[in-house]
Amino acid sequence: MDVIVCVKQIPDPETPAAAFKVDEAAMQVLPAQGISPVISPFDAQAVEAALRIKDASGDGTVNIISLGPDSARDAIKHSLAMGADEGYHLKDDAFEGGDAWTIALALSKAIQHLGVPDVLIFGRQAADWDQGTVGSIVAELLDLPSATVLRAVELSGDSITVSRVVADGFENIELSTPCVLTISNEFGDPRYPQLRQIMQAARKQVTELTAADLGLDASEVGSAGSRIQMHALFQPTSDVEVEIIEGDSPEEKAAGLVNALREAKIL
Amino acid sequence: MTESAESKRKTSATSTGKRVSALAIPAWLPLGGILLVSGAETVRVTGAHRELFFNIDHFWVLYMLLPFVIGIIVYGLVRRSRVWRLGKPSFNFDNMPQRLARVLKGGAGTERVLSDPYSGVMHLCIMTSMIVLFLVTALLAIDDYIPVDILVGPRYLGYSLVADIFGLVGIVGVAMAIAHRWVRPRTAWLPTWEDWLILGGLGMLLVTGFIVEGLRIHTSEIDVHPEWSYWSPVGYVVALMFSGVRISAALDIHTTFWWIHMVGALSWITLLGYSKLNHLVLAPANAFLKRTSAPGKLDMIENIEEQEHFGVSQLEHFTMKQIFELDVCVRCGRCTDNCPADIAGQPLSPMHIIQDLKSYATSVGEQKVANLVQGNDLNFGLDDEAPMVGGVVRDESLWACRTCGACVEACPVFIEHVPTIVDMRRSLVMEEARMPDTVQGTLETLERQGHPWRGTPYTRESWMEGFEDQVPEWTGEQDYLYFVGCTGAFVDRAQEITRSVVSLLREADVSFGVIKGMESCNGDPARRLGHEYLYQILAEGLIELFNETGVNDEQKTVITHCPHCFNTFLNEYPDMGAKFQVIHHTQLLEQLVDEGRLVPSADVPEQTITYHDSCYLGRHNDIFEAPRRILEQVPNVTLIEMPRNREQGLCCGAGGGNMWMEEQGKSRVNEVRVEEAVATGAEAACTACPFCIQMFDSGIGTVQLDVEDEDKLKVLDVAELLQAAAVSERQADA
Repeated sequence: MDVIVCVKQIPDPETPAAAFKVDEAAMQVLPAQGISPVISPFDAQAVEAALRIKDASGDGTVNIISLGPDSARDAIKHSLAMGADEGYHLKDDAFEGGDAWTIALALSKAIQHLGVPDVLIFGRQAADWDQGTVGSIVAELLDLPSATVLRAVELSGDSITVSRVVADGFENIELSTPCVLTISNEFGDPRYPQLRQIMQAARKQVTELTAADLGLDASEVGSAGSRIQMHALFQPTSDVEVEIIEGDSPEEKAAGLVNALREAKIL
Repeated sequence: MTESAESKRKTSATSTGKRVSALAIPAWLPLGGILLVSGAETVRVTGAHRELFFNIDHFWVLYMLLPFVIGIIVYGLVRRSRVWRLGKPSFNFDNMPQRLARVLKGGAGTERVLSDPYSGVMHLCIMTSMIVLFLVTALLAIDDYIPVDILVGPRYLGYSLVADIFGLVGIVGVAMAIAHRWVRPRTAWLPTWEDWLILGGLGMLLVTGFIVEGLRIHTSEIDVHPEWSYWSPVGYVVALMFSGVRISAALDIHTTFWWIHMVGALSWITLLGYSKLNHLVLAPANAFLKRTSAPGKLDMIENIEEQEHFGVSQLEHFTMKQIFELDVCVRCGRCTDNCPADIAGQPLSPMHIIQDLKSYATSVGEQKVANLVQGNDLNFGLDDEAPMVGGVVRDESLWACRTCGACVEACPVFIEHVPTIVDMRRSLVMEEARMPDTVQGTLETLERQGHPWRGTPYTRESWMEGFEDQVPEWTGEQDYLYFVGCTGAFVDRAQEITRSVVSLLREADVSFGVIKGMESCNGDPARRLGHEYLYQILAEGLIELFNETGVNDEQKTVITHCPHCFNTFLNEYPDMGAKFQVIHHTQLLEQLVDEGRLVPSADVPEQTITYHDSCYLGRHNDIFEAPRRILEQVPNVTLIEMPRNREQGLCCGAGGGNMWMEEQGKSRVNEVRVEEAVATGAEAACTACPFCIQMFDSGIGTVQLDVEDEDKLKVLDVAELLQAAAVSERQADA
């Protein structure tokens, strides 16, 4: 069974809050010193899901597509080290400043360019902007059935049975292929690459594709094609004030607490 | 070792000499005894002697058997050596004087065996008895071959006395060894057929020897020369026991026992080639082969990108020395008795790892040898065997190792368990990518963020906040670089200690600086966790930073905050091209106190303190006294020791990457150690390692759960206590 996984490189979500900075004027996140960008954790889980599908079906390929700057190659290489077969890097200045729509458009063109596989997998959302829309937009653009936020994926003959995470439990669905899946963190940890695979991945060629290669005009993608406009980017501040309720007995303290909560209009 | 590394080791050599036991000498005393007695011809004993091969015909059969016996022994050892030679060649003959001294002291002198009183005495009894009785027998033979009679008169009687005494000493030793296996049960103890065959055989030889002697005295000496018999006291007593037996019957019994004794002796000695009795030969050889570099150093995998395999997953991936030393193990169990994981009831026994690998080397190793001989593939017919890593040695045992080196320190036959364990971890991590989630998380954080503290809310500069102007930036001009390290920067409790060290360095006007924000992990956790490749990447990165900033210079010294950084810089970075000198903060602080640049005069509260040795400062690098001397200089401090201290210090539980793992087992190592510290009655425990501090803090939380906060054991770094006593108010306020 052939699978394509779309992955995104993001600033390390483990970056400590103190090292996280934004340039409010340029409306950009500043890279933290000494902390390299990483593959979005949900996307690493998507790669894991794809590798398990390939293993279970016994044949097929797992190919990786990523759209992003030069450094996005590292996210592709990481996926290759985990065991994926080929990597495709959508790299073009024209892609810069895009939104979920333009990225989904470019990805869907790339998928058509490579040939629509049996299964298309995404992380449930990129762990930087957390919009969680690209997978669903691609499904719409390619007119494929989709299931999102999955905790389990199982092959049953030519169809696929999945389990979605929903607010009050799980929802099991059967899909025909080809289809689009997005993987949630409940799926489980991605594998740690073996050193030999890291070294092989380092030597592997990643194919670069531009907007023109995909038959896209510069006006359709990047900031030119964006449907979302950003108006401001800032780090919210949260102030915590601590008030100690004094009192001689627990009863007195409790009464004081109730009064304080009433004053704050919480009770 | 390069010259610069050599000189660096000297900088850290504030070591105490190992305790040398003089007990090993008595093995050589009996010869002196013979000479002494022979000089004192005071008794009427002229002509005293005995007849060799008394009452024995066909004694030449013995001489016929001798070449066979030697052949059988040599065959056993040579056959076994084919399994050793499956490994990679690894002969290193550096530092010959140290190696030879170790053979004499540790091999022939059995220095480490003697460190345990009971088994030390037991072993000494058996060993001296065997040496003396061998010499006695040899002397008798020599006396027979040469034309002059040496063993006559008083010389003979002295000789006879010495032989009797040491026969008795041997019986005592064997009895102690047998009792040991019942009376003194040990966690690691597993006697097998070997133990009973060796001990039973030796006991039988000693007893039959006395029976033969007693019968000879009864039949030929006691009636004629009773005054001679007194010089064979044990034989004399045996002779009295036989006094009712008719002489002709006694002569028959004598012949029977003589042959049992002689054939038994020759059979028993063949065990040398086939059982753990081979430690007579192999243990001194292993004393020679043991590395001479610092015990905490791990070997580098050269050209790692071109290797066919990473670490050890097959027997033949080990070095010859690693396979050889499996056979040296005598199952004494001292490694396991001293292993922090085993003490805490966790799934690791170094002795069982060595023994299980030894069995594997016997079954699978010999099959591999046969495959080689027959020209088959090395692994022919071995598909159904359990894998060595994960089957014979379980993953959880490998992960439970703290690399603290207590096993290596305790081993009387110089086995090095830690490199063997780490080699198998390397295979787990790099070859199979099979590891606990916590290890994976730590390695990923090291890869991505250059430190092991996943989820820390801090940055490398957080510890300086509100303190920046007190911390001089490294310019390349100062004498010392203060390398804060990851824990000193990313863990809040350790940040306080980092600030204490800076205050002390400023108080003493030390010329130092800090590379702000640009430090990265030196790779120690990755290396100990088995990810040698990640270690090399991190180390290359840091060396590059040190080159760019002028740190990597023989004139510059790096002060490390953490003993683990210290060990890696001092012992392992020379392999990566490091030239700088290394000093641990406690060493430098001790020097500063010594030179009067820090004066611990302030009136700190009266307190009793116990010092906990960090493994990587103490056992691995011999720095036991510097931190203690600082504590002794602080007014009102009384220093007391835990029972396990210095070379025998118990790990806090964090070493070998266990700082970032979940512990499995009955209890936690840090709780065991905290209980030991609390039991001393000390008010505070002092240490010099940021990991130990954290392990103590968390251990106190559970061990002293019900104790009021102010009565709980306090945990301090040596630097914090010194700061309280030696940093002036002016600076402390600033």
